[in-house]
Amino acid sequence: MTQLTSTQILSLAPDTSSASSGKALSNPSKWKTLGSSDMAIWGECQGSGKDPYRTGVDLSDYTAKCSCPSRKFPCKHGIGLMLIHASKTLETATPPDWLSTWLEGRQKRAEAKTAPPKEQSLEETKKSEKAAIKRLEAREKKVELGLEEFGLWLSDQIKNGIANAPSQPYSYWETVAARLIDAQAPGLARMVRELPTAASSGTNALLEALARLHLIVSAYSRLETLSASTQADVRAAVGFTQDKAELMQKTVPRNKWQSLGQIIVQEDNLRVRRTYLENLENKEYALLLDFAVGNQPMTGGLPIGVNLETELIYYPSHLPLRAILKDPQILEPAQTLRGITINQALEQYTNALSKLPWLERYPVTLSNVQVVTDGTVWYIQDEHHSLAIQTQDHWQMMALSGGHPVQVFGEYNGTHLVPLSIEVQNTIFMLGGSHE
Amino acid sequence: MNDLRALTSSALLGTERSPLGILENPHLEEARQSLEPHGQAKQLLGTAILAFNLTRAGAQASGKIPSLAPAAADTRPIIPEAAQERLQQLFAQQADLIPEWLELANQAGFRMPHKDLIALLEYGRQHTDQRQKILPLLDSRGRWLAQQNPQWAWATGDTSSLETALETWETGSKAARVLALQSIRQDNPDQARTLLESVWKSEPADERKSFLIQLQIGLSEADEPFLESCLDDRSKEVRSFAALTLSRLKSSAYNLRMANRAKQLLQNGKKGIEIVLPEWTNDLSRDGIEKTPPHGIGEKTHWWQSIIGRAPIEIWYSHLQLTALEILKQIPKMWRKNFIDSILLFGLNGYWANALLEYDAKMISENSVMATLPIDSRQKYIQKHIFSKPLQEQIYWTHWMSDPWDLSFSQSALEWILSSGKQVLTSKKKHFGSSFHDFKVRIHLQAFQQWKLKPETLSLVKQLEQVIAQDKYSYSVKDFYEYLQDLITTLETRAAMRKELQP
Repeated sequence: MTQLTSTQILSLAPDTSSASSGKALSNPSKWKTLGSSDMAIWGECQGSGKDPYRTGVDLSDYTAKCSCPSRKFPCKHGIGLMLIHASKTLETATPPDWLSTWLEGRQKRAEAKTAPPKEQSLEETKKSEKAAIKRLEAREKKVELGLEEFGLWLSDQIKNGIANAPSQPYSYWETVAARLIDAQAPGLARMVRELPTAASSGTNALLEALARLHLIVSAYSRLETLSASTQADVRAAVGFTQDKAELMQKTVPRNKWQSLGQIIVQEDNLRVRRTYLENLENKEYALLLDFAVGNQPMTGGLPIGVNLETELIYYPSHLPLRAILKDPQILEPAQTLRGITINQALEQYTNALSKLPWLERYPVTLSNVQVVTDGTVWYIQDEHHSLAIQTQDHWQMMALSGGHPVQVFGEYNGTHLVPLSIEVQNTIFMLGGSHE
Repeated sequence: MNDLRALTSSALLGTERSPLGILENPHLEEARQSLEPHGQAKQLLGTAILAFNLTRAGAQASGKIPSLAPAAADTRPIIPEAAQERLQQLFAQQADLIPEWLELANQAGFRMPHKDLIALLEYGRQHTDQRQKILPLLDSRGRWLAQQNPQWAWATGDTSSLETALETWETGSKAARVLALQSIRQDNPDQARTLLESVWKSEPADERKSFLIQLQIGLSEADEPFLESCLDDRSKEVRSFAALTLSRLKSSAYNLRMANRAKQLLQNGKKGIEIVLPEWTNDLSRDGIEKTPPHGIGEKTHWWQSIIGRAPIEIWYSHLQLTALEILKQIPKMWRKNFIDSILLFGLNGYWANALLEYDAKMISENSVMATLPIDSRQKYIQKHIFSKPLQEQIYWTHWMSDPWDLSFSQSALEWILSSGKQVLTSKKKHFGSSFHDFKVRIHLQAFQQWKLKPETLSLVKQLEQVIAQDKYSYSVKDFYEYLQDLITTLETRAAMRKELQP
């Protein structure tokens, strides 16, 4: 059974308000009953309703269940219960029926997931496969036409000059993005929506963004000439989604991983959560992506700063990074970050860029760096080099490090590092990063 | 890189008008030539992505920039984890308990964990009255951090010993020096004054006043000569603050001068008390009385009011053979209202406040009298006039009381809550608003520990719970019950805080 620290528990909270209401409920006096077993912790908390809410947490993966009406996951009661568990030993007891039922249900569902899919008759299988192929063909046709049109638009921009781009109204870009959505190329549409930002930060940035789009469009037009993994990268950039169920079918060895850091960014109406992991054996990185629309809460968070044992399946790519987890088990809090020098990190980035030329950012861990500032820009620096950082937590990094060398993990985007966690003398702290 | 410039300028104007020419970098030029068949626009875009990525890939790490020497090791033990979590909780939702937490943490001799330093520095930036308590908690790391951000300049000083405080006084920022002087004054009042005197002339007016304020701590006769010399200061603010401070020294020459002036202004005449208006003399200005009256008052009346208000109350009995209360009763009617308003407005030290309350509490606004009344008199007044009446919708007097309340006053307050609770249960009053909202941070914990075990308290809580369980309750009952719960939880939290912060 793993014991998480309160910081790690708070990193599970779907938003800051759940975190702070969770803290308020971490006072045992707010709970009518509390109990624990090897597998789970539970309690009853009096809310505004007549009956107290029943809250349970499965300790194998810190999943919470609660009878309250909140759609957040875990809800404040779940967070509160975990926090109590983190700070004091709860009385051991037999789980109440409602909890056992839930735990058994979870167990069954987990077994069902790993069990082979129900056998279909040969005919049925053929039928559904045929239909799927047909759908895919139709979509590919649509994308092809859409990209051809978009390619022309790109060429026109360059033919006529981009001097006027910064003064174009929002609708100018939005029309193009909307057409790409119609053409079922949402990945490109997202990149087009970022063009106004690029345009306002200078000709260089805009030309680079347009050239990147051009590269993807022209790669797609000769897709069949590319290697299978690069094909997957091009398709992902255009916006084809990978079938998760299909990925889940794969079996890979269980390995030990460490969750390194996390950042949530807002993209239009979508919140995107990027969670980074590192393979403890070969130091490879992996990225988990989660999305939430509008005000919907993020689900299925992983605590940050812990070691876990899991099957991790990479999405096919020439530069494998994005991945999904299969049956993760949290092991223990992690204590260190293992990094490299700034020079080595830049080399690593270059290497990644050569595999994926439209790479937007890449994870990196730096060892023995000092946090410094020249009064306007903040940097981390090792014995020989410095690297600009972008974060609202620069003072926090200064406070934690005290000017001594520390380890920093973050996302490097070719110009600066967005720090996501910092290790100071065997303790890891999360950083807020910065919304790009 | 010239090639990037060629690419962007061609893209800016458009390839129609400004086609892309030969590039310097052979790799880029090769790409440019191979892309020619695709048309000028695609040629430019294709070459551009290569150029940008070559730049990115070839980027060299920048050199080092100068850095500060790292922070020295901390000297105090770190705050226990439970107390750290408690502070987080207070910051999130119960900021009114933070001052008490700081006080306790300070007494126990702890230091903050590094992760919470910024929250504390920011808190101190906004709450100047808490800075003295925060300083020792920062320890070496916090002071080191504060040196790097001008907004935290107050926290750069070290007041943990006389030696370090003296050093801060010599070399610190303005805000840090105020705190250093404050801490020196607490333990060595004479030394603090001597330090202040030695630099007095070279300090700007603003700082002279901030420093002078610190002499309020441990004020004694020994301070009089210095304060008296401050009456000749260039700054009006310094002069009037020095006058106020002198008036608090019972046997000061200042008080004697005021007494002699005041005695001229109220005389025993044939028909009772007679009013004599003063003439202006320049020594009045030196003693902090303003020559120009505020709008709506004649100048002589204004001088008269200012002098009477500032003269020590004890002089009247020997002078007129009358107590303050008797003076209030016998003063000519047309002067009475004026007189009362003025001693509230221009008087110092609440000399008259007790007499005023006794004379007629209704006639004067409680707020203005309370402001000038010493704490023990305020307590007596509240216990006598407020706790005897039923609970009111609004409680407006808690800010008259300093924190924390003493045992006996806390006991009366808790008794008052009990009797109010009984009224709430029986009466049909609609709304009690946030009535005793801030009792919870002020009540003496010992009083609470006794009170919560009393049978009356237990039975009141039980009765309230029963009424609420029946689903037929008025809002006043529910409000009262919720406030009572809040009061109890908060006081329990305060008790827990003490345990968590035991040294």
